[in-house]
Amino acid sequence: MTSHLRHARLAALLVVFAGPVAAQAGRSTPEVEPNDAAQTATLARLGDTISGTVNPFDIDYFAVQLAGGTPLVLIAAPVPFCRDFALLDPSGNRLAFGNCVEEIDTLQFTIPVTGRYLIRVTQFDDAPGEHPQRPYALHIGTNPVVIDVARVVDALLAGDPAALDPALRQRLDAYGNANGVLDVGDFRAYLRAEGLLRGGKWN
Amino acid sequence: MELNARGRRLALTLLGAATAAACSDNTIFPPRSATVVRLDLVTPQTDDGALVIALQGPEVSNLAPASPGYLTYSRDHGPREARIIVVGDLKAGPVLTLNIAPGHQLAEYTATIQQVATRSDALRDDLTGYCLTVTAP
Repeated sequence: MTSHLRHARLAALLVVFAGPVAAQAGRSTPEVEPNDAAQTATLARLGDTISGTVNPFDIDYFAVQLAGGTPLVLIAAPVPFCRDFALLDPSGNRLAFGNCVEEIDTLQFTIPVTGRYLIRVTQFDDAPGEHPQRPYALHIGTNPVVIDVARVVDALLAGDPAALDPALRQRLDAYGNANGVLDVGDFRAYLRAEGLLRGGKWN
Repeated sequence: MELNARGRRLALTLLGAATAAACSDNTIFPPRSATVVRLDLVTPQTDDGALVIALQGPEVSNLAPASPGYLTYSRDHGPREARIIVVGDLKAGPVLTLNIAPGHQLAEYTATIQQVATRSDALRDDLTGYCLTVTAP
């Protein structure tokens, strides 16, 4: 990723973190301890900004249900310590890794199959002495892939979600309750996740 | 001359009666200009985040959100029905405004709620206590 793009993404992340906009663009999901293992991971959703604290002896896991084909983007907020984060598949295999040494703050990965994926956050610090808890935050988003909202609205309001491409239907459903049925909650979740939940429009 | 004066008095009397009746009962005198109508949400919840509405009635136009914080989408569903999605931090009270064409009465319009989602995007299974009222403010 170019420096310019990275700075743009960080700027976007800061906007997401900035008060009133954050409430519309996605919810804030703080870690719930104990979340030191995949089985006890804090549950998050696409569009969330996850946060917590780590020290060199701590590992934090978040779990997020993702649909196959989702162009996932994880954006980490800048921190004044060495923070590593990784995306793991449902079996625990590492798919992407952002480390402080290479100053990787953004991971992009297209989800291969629908499942429960994990985000792991650690702090790398081998300096002697005290190891205080350090705060971190990451945004779970997607690349701005164009979805034909008009077609989705057509299908929803016609009561005919089957008119949509199955992959698109599955992806939209995964934004919401992932119950296999496309509904207005899924549509709202998509708007929220993509930062489109703004008022005053008529379409 | 005397007849003309009586005629004017009669005409004024009839006009007065017509105006009073129109104000109190528009089933007798349908409006001759477009009427602004409002849909108000009645909800037992405080965390509604999205609605799907079916609005039935003839010649509806100028659908608009009642709040600048609401995002709305609509589609015609046949000649006498519009279906509408309203998304936002919804509250009880006005959700939409619209116009009904001249010559139609409020009683010709009904609005029903088909789906409700919470602000955390979950679809509600139970819509007990929900309804929409159609009024001419």
